[in-house]
Amino acid sequence: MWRYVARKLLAAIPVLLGAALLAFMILHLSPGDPARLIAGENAFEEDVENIRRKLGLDQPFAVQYLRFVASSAKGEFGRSIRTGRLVRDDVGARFPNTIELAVASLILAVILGVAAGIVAAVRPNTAYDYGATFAALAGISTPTFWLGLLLMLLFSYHLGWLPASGRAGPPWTIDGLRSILMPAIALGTPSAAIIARLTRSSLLDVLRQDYVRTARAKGLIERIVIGHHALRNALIPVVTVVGLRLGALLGGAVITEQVFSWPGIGTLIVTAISSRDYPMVQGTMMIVALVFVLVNLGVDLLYALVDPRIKYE
Amino acid sequence: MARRHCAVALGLAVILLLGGNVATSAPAGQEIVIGNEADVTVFDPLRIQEAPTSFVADMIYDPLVRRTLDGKIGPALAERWKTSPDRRTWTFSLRKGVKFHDGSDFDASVVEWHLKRVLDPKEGSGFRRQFMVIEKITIVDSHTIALTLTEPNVAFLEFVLLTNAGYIPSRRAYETLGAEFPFKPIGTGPYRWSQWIQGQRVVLERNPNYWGAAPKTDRIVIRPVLDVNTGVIELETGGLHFILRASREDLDRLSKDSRFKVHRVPTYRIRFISLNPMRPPFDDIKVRQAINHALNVPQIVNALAGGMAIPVDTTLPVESKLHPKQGSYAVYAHNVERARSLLTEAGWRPGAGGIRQKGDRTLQFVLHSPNGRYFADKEISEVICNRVRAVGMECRVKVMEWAAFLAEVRAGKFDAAFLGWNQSSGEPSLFLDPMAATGGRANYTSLTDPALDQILREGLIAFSEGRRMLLYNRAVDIINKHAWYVPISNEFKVAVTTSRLEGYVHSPARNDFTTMYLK
Repeated sequence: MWRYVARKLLAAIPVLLGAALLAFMILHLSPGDPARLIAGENAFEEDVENIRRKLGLDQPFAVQYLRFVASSAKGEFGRSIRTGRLVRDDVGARFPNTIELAVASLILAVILGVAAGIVAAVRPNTAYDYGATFAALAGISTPTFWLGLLLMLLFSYHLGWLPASGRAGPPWTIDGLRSILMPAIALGTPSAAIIARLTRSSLLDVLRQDYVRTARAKGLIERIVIGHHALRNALIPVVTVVGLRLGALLGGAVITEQVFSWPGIGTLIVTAISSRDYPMVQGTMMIVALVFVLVNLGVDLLYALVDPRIKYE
Repeated sequence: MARRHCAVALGLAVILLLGGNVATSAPAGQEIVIGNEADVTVFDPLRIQEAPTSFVADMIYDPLVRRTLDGKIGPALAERWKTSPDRRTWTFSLRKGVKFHDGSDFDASVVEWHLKRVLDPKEGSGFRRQFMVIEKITIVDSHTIALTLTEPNVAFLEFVLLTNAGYIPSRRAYETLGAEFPFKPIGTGPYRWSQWIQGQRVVLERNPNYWGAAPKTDRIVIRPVLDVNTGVIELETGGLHFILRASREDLDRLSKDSRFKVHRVPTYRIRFISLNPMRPPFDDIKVRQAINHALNVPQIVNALAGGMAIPVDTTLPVESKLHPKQGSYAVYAHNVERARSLLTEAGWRPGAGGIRQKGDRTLQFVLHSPNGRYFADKEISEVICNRVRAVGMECRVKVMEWAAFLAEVRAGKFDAAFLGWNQSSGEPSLFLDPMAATGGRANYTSLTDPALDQILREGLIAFSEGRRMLLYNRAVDIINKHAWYVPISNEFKVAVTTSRLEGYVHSPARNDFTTMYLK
């Protein structure tokens, strides 16, 4: 298994370099001058030129990219054009918050999604099934920003139970838990909907298998049949999707972070793109890509746990 | 039974968790929480360019002179100043006994060090070119410094010392903090830097040794609240005491709610359509005049931005003390017939679909517009494009992301563009020189008029206010006669506070948070 892990990690290197190069090229190809944005709208052209030279933005594209790669090899990921700080430090200050939010929303999504999926699958074509399916459809279709504002109106404005925005502390403190609840619900709802639909269809397939019929024929109670025999097999595709969702949540929490002023990397990336902060965008992309690769690797390894027939050589 | 008890206990725990801690969000003591539209970035005065950072910096640093709430210039770290008879040398008498937050002394050597730093090309400050009007720095004594300019400049204080690079930081901090210097600001201001949690909050503590009147609040907390609607909900639920922006609908709603105070005042932010005289169809003055006549700007602005901006007929802020009087300069009243006849005079005849043509050319243009950079920018651009059809012009709005928009506009690659110009004072040279003088830094379309240049030059060296009033009146008149711009609006500075907050004076000139306190 370790050889498999090492091979996967080695294969990640070109993926990371490619992600950074892609981000770098897209930003360079789009119009906009970072030196001008840093100098300010009011600055004279002479000052803008001076800043461009100082930041090395007058160097050829390849030189700028190679500098970034060299800096990344040292684990620094370049220096932000906008703030002058190491990208590693800025991302390091915020990425744990994004991970925290993504994990919290995923936990909610898995609990709600799997539960709704099971309910729908064990009682197909009943009011429970239709209710769960409708809720899943609504969950996928609801825009995150709108859901976020609705949650805020209900829980902050009308009920006064939760703080409207911001991160009040780590989630194991009361204030921290209260502050993460709404963003986690808003971010996790579409994932919960996807997981619910997938769990339902996967479980329905499994419930038609012979071994399930055998388990029932042996006289096992329904809870054991579902929970012990059927669900475990039905969860394999769900685990794949959960892994992919975690990756997507890490890189795609931009809107939720914006609405709830959550101090994660989503808002950092948006600001970096609008200020053409090349190293910050590249560095963040590279770090997100790395986490994505690691999550996928983790999911691959999880298969073996869920299904003992799967082994890695 | 045991399971039922467990369920009840769990339910109680959830209720306590969710609802039992409501009181903690209420403000405690003299702490005021302000919502900022973004997180702060760098506090090295040489590099402060963004409003969310500069308004925080203003509480930590002091400049030599400071704008007063009524828009005048008053003393700060300089107690007084005088100019030499040839108007080139400005001598500042510095306040004695002032200490930086790190305990180091403020004196003329710190001012000299700071100014030389701004001027040093290696520092890469975006303000360097502005400061280059300082030709020589002379320390007269430990608390007197003289700055000799390359040429007389009446607006020197506004142009140079009242920029963000005019804040004086601690030299000791610069020498000891190294790379951390831009992120741990040490000034002489009313508040000291206490804590910054990236993306979450900045905490400022009252400076007990402040040389001026002691701030009334112990602590100011600044929280980045990125979404404008979230900011309003935070204010309404007590998470914030002060917000600097809200939607027009929310402002109207909150102004009727006794729990809040809504503040609005026209400030030094001008919005206008720049017509590019280097490209057709606006290379013809008659076409530029025609579009000015074709648009009912007051109606458009009042409908789309009423309460957030007022319509204007010049590119000078209405709060500028040298704004010429109505009737003393050329304006273009809304007159569709006049617009049509001007276009006919210019050779544009009505063609198919009502769009005018000259030979095989159609009277059409593209209006570049940002989206959300200025209040209702895209919406105003769309209405303008719609309205000019009435006089036979075809127009298409090109909405662009800000950085891309700025790149195209600065390169002069546009027919017409919705633009804005913000300054921190109404000093007319800060608006008219950049926008209309030959080679001005906001003159993106190579506008040039030697007579206007001469007037603007004289405006900078005429030290009599009456003379300056006359000169800028003529300048505004000339600019309007050229019809290089369609003046659109003067945006308001907006703030909403809880009604418990006292002592805040809403001024276009600056924010003074030292007088604020909670009842």
